[in-house]
Amino acid sequence: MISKKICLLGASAVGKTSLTRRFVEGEFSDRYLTTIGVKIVKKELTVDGVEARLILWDVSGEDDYAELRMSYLRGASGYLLVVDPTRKETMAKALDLDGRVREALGDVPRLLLMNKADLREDWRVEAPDAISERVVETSAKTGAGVEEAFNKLAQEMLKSA
Amino acid sequence: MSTATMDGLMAALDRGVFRQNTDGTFAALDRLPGWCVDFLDGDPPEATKLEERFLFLDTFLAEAEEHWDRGEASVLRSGPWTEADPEGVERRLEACAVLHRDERILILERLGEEFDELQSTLQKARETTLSFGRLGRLAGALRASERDAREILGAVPDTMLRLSTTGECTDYSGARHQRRELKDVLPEEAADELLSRIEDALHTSASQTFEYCEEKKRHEVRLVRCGDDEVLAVVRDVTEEARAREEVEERLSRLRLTRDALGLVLDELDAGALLVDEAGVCTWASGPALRLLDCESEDVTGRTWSEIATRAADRRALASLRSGDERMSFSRGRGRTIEAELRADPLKTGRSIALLHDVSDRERLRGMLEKRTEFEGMSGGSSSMQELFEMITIFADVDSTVLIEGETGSGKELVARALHQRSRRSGSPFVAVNCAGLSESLVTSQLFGHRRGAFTGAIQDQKGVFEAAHGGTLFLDEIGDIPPAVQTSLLRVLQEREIVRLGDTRPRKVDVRVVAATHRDLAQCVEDGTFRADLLYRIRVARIPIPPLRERREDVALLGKQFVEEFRALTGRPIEGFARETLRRLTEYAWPGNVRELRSAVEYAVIRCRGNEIEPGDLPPEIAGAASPRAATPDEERERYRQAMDEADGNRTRAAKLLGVSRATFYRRLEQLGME
Repeated sequence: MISKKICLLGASAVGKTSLTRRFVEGEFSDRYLTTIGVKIVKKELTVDGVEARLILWDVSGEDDYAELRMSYLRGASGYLLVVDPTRKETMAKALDLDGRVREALGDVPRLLLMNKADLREDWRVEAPDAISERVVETSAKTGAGVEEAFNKLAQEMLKSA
Repeated sequence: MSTATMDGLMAALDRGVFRQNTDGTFAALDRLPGWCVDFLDGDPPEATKLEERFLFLDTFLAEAEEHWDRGEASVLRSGPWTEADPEGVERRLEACAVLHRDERILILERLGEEFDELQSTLQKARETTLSFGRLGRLAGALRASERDAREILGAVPDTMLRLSTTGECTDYSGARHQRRELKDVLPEEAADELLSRIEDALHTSASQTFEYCEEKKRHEVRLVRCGDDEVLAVVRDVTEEARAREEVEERLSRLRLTRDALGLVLDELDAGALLVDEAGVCTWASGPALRLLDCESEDVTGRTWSEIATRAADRRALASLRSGDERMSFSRGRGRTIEAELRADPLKTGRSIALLHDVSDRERLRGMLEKRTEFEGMSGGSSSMQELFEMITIFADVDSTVLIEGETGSGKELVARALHQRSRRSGSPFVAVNCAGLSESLVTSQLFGHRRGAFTGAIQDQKGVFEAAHGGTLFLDEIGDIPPAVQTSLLRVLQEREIVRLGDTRPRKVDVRVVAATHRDLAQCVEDGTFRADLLYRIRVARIPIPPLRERREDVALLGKQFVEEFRALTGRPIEGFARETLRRLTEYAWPGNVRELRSAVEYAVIRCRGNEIEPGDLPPEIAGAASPRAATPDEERERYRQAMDEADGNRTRAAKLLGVSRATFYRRLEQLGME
């Protein structure tokens, strides 16, 4: 079975842990519990007929209180940048992280997740048109787009492997 | 320090300490805490691949290798991470890499309270940041709202004043915030009125309103409470609005007059009227309509108008009725039939007037007419046939034995069948037996059945017609022809309601209604000694005389028309009916063979007819030549029978058919005419 490491990155409280929990356990909780350091879970799935084990690194959000530890990225085959579009600044943070991560990992598969799609009317920022094909709208609350996002990234990772 | 002391110390520290072996595996330096053993999942503690047991270490050990390679004495901390052991228990952990006397040491530590404290502190800090962010956004939204509000206020032509109880006045009109004297904004009288109402406005949630005039303009002042000691006064120019309102009032008044006049007209009509709006809802009902529907106005108005019908099918039909459609009738219960039609309201497009007419009497008459011409396969509009139908209806309800009296061909069996069909026995058998056709030797067996061996040829037990008709009706036709010996047995059956099969001794109960028929005068037969008086009284509990056709000539045309239709369908000939002269002759003919003869005559005529109408020449000769309604003489009848036999080449069944009589009658007449 092929193992692939995926990092979930973004500003704090954008929903990285909720997305991971929705994908792995199919559950959601409204309660916000900040992640310290990194939380690692795995999920096995079949992608295009290939059995794969995804090692998900839910990395603590980067903000004034915590900075991304670049060593966490080592060995990642792809990453998900998570944005809370109801908070404009989380888009800027995601794009900033993207630049730094690409510098460290090179051109590995990645997606930008516009989370909290259930609050669409409160969105204050849209994804840049230039990366529209790499954008998936998700809602950890309703589950919309979550499977699609992880599967899409897994497909691309296996293709580029 | 003893080994035991060291072990106790390490256990208290709750840490796993490993040294890297030369092959890259790790060996535990001391006894490992339980959580650490759980992660190893059976790996030997002296040579375990930690990077395979801790997902996190796969990444961290690469960093640690570089640290060890650099030979630095400092400690490399991994930072906290969370990971589940093989049993799925989540552990908060931290790793440290350190070089000690050239040995590569890795310490795995389980985080406890310090992790919770860190998480709690960070959580609070982040939640505060999020709240600040939200507050900032709300403040921005408030500022934007204020800007919008000012713009809206600027666009409103009304004067808006904020007044305090002390009389301070701020003018917000045109988005300005300007302190003003109230008397500079309002005429003195209005200003006084406004000030006098401030206290009232402050003590009620409802707004206070008054109007004042100034230079031919009318203004409305509305006061609403605004905080604990201030009110907002909105002053509007309502001159145009007041004018429009007066105009509307005037129009409404005119409309009310028109509506009252229209209502009076509709009330005077014989028909009931409903006003129906575009949605099919009744908005008004005239007095006659309410009387016709026998209900109150609130039972109809405000409801879908089709609900005036009581049956669902009628409601659907009414709902689909459109202006200009044909009228439709529906039942309103209690025998009332109402006819409805929709007409477009000339006063308002889309609205309709439903006119309702009471057609109960008409429908009742129509029903009576329809009922009188058809009855269980019999036809006749004559009064004598109406009486017959009524008698059948009455006698069908009881279980008494009935005697049907009528000439040959008058339809005795049809009457018997009608009695059966209309009775409670209609679901059970109707068995008809022609007693004239029963041979004397076999009649007992045929009526009551027999046991095996009762007589030569009785090879098995056999039910008779009484048993066959059990639960139903037994029709004994030509009962006057039944042999005297059988009359006694029949009488016993009618009295006891049980039969004994021939050759048997056991009586069997039968539940049969007996309907008898005869063309004979049975009273005369009793006098002649050929029929038992007690049997006559037993079967003649109820009597139904069938009128001969010659006594109900008005039915000839109706019956003739029905027979033409029947044979036209059978033969495919395009015959429309009778010529006037043909109908006259049919009506005048004596019809000794009654309806059966008429039917045969029409069949004969249809076969012979070459045009669209049956001419007199198409009729059988004895009818075509009939000059008077008198009955044929015996000689004439002999001649008719002879001709029929010739035409039928001696076949008596065909000859009987040509004459329009049954085979039994044919034989009897041959005997009576001395032609056997």
